[in-house]
Amino acid sequence: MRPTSRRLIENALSYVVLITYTLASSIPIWWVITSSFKLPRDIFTYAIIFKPTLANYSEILIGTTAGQYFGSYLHFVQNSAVVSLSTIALSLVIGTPAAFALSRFDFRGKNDVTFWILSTRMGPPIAYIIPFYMIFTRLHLLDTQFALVALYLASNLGFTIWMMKGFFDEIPHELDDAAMTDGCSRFRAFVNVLLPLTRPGLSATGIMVFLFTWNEFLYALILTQQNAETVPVSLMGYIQVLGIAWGPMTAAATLQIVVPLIFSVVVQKHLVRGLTLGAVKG
Amino acid sequence: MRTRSLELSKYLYLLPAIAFLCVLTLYPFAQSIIWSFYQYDPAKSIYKFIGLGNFSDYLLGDRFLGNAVNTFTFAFSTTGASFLIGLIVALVLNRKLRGTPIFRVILLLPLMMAPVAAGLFWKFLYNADIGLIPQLLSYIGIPRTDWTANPSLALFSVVVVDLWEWTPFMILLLLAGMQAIPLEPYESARIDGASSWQLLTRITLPQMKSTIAIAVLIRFMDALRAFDILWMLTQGGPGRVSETISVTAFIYLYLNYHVGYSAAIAVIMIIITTGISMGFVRYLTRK
Repeated sequence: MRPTSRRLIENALSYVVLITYTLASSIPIWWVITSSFKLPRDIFTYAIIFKPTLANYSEILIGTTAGQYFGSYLHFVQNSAVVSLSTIALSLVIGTPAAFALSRFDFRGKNDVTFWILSTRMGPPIAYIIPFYMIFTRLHLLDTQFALVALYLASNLGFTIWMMKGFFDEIPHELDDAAMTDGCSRFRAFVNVLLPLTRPGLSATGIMVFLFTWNEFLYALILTQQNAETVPVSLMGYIQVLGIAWGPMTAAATLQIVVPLIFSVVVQKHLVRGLTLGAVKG
Repeated sequence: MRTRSLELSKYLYLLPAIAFLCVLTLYPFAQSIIWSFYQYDPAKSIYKFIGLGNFSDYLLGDRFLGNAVNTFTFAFSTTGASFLIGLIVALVLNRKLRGTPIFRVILLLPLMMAPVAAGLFWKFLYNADIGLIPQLLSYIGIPRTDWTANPSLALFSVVVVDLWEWTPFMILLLLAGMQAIPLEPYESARIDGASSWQLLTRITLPQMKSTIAIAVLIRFMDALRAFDILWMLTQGGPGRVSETISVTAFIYLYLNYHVGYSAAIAVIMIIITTGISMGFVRYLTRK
């Protein structure tokens, strides 16, 4: 076969794969989004043509379907936002210097430390939650944003360090050496030269941490009741005696995806580069 | 003198992170291990040392074997399938054909959906009477059945949703690894007339060995501890056909308040995950 025709076939096959996968994975999303604009009778018919309604959205924003009080949804959104953003800020502030150190310095047992840090993300959640639940009960911190941030930091700090290390590994050492021969201290070289260069890395890492915390369910379910409850937990409210309130539920799920979607479209170019997995190359 | 202070300053960058990780991860693990030796029920103020009682109750009880089989069946099938699908899609995306950026945004969407929401609305899609999936399958002659309530399909139905939710993450990880491969080997191989298949098996896959290992490890660990989707879809049922170790641990902690017992299950999970990840590290650092 001539190379050009072989290439054509390969390209055609590639599109078949892409389109099949994308269709299969987006049909459920399409169902969620369209259902959120449907009245109950239309939800069950899969009608493609229907009269769109905003009833479900007004229900979750000002209604009380989920057994909540007026305005509770916005309260949960606020909790989710505060907790997610605090976790991102703390993981980046604490994790970035550590990632820099793991990327630039040599010391004994470095590979072990790196792997231990990554492995903290892999622990069973139940092992974190039991002790923290008891401590927070004793300290009267149950059902507070603080409690959630502590647990989210535990499960995201390792991931942050590991991802940021990948970004620092990509920056040639000559840059910090040059900055240091120009009289910068190592710390200033880190802050003034390297950090600005890893801005894409910081945003990509931030997005991943945001995805993990914004959608987290188990910790929030156990640690919060009403005051610090987050949106994913509040979705449980749509499960009712007579079945699930599909309209409001799909509307809430649609709103839940909007923020991460905007974020990731903005930084999507960097999202892939961030995960270069340089961490354990030995 | 100067080198020593330089030596010390290196650790200052690491110190906050290590301190936080110790407090936030090592401490709870240690505490879980201690409580796993107690019959601890705060609601009834019971706190009694019972040695290995919790462990023997769980490991020799009627739940453990089924839990372990379900957990590993789930983890192996979702990891294996998401690796194969993820690899194919990542390879295609890496060809940078026209339109790839749009595809990339759309196929990341499931990753952004809250797993708990995914569990809820997939339950609808699986419903025998109104669900999209039984309806579509009925067109090709497969009788309608409620997937999450059917004992032979329940675990499989959870695997499908888990794949749907997390394969995009696998694609991201693998794509990242592919883009980190230098281009020179490909150019010289092309000049030698290598086919795309040869490029894949001789250059891409060997170069991605550590990426693949880490991606599979992360996915496998996440699958071992998976909870949200399982809980929303089946709660371990019908009966116990889809009950995994983490579902049991949750039931004992949240519904029955047996802190010591679920701590023991957590310790068993720590032992399993540590064992597997140590094996992986040994494999990775072997030269």
